[in-house]
Amino acid sequence: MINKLTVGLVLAMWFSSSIAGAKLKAFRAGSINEISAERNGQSFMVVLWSVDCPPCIKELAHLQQYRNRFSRTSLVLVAIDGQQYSDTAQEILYDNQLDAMDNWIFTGSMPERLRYAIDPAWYGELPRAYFYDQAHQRVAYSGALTQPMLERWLKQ
Amino acid sequence: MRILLLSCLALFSFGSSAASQSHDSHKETMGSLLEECLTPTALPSVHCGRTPTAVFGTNGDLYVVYSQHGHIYLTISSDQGKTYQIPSVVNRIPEVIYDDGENRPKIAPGKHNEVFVSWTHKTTGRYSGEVRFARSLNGGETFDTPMTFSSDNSLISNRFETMIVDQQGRIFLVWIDKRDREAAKKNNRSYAGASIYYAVSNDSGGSFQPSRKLADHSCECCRIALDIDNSDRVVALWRHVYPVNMRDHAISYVIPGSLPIETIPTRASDDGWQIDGCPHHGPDLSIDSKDQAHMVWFTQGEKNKGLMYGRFDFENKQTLLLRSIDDSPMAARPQVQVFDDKLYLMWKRFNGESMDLLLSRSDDEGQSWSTPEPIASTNNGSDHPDWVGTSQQLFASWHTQSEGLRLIPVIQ
Repeated sequence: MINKLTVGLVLAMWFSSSIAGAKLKAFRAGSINEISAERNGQSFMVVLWSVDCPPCIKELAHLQQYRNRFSRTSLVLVAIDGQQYSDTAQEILYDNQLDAMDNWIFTGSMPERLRYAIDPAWYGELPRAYFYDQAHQRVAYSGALTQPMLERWLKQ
Repeated sequence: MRILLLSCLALFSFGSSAASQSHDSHKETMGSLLEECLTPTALPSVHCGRTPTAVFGTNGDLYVVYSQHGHIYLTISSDQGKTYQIPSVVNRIPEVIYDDGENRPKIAPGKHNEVFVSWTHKTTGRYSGEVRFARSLNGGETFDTPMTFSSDNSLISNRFETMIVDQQGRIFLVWIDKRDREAAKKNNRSYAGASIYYAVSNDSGGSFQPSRKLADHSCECCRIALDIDNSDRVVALWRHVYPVNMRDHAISYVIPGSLPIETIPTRASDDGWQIDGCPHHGPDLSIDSKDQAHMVWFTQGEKNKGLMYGRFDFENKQTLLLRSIDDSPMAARPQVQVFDDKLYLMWKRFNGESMDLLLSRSDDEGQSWSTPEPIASTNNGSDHPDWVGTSQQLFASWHTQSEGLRLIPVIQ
């Protein structure tokens, strides 16, 4: 009985620590440039999402199918919810097996500033994706990414 | 082939606390940045609390409700917001309260020294809550035990309540209800959006008549706007879900005792905003002396984008005038107010450095609008702005993290 309890406890601790292990990075006004600088000469994709946006959750489930073809460098996920939703965002990423990607969450008191830093022409709609080419010229896309779009991107 | 835009707008208000109680520590960091508010033992105040909502009483005093530490507090100012009295507690038992910009406590004074307060309590589960109401019969000194407007199953969400008191003194509570959506789900039927329900009290909040449906298929998480016309009829404006997933607005009278067929909502905006998600961005409404409804809203439709103004005519049952107010991606939270037959419109716009509160005026019933002028600004997070006024004065009320609650004079 005790053994079973101990095993259960250890498993529970391991489970919770594995979720907690995938901490989201704090996304601030300079973060988008940081993300870009770290990927000098490489193409990558930034996907913005929210725990409060049902189409975004569908999008994450969709991206999950492609996770083996993405790397931490090529896929950046930014939750726009604010630090108080960090735990919820981590759980959703874990459930969708995307916790190993480069994950960020909006931080600070003024989300508008972060939205402006990413793209002053963005109305805030989600999901929103930016495709950066090797020269870091980017193309923005609002709405759920389709299979042909992802396939085309991944073949580049 | 038409491309279905699957998108939803984020909740860009500062410090939404719709998360569970375990996130309190994070929530505090998103609260006020005023020094007096930073200690854990900070006393309740309009500046430290969240989503303060204000109204002038008939005696000229300013009544403000706000959320702090799981309580709704009421405080009174006799000098137009310069100083506030020690607050009274509306709900004695603390609870999780929806206190983001779109979901905030409401307050309405009665005719005989009553104060009515409503809010939404967050229940277990995501996106779920129940509407609460409490009244004071002694000018806000003490409040009766809160009433709850829950459906049969409290896990069914009733949220985004709004309240208005008509000239007769009847209290109207109107909210977004998911009971029809849940019923459809149980029968394996699909149901677009949620529904609008309302309840009316004829005895100064002593009791409410059973709740009734106003409309099927409202958007799930945008606030409802209410006003009263010159015949003492309550008018509601809300974001609706037109087929398929078209999130434009509907307008309707709220007539107690009427059947839903008698108050079929009329389409008030037609921007063609197709979106599989909720924008968290409800409209505002103000009715003039000719019973014209002046409406403002946010859209990202195929036809129009940004902040829009529309004038709805009840006789013709259509929006006869439409104007784009601000198509900047950073413009948000428009509020409209009729005052002395002129129209005042304010909204928030981030300018790249700080958040401005902009004001524009129309002297010709919405045909033309003045160049927007900033009336206030902030460098940190900010709540939705709101109008508060008497028959002689009009203020913009704006709660910001760095400055607390401000009453900005617009007409004095």
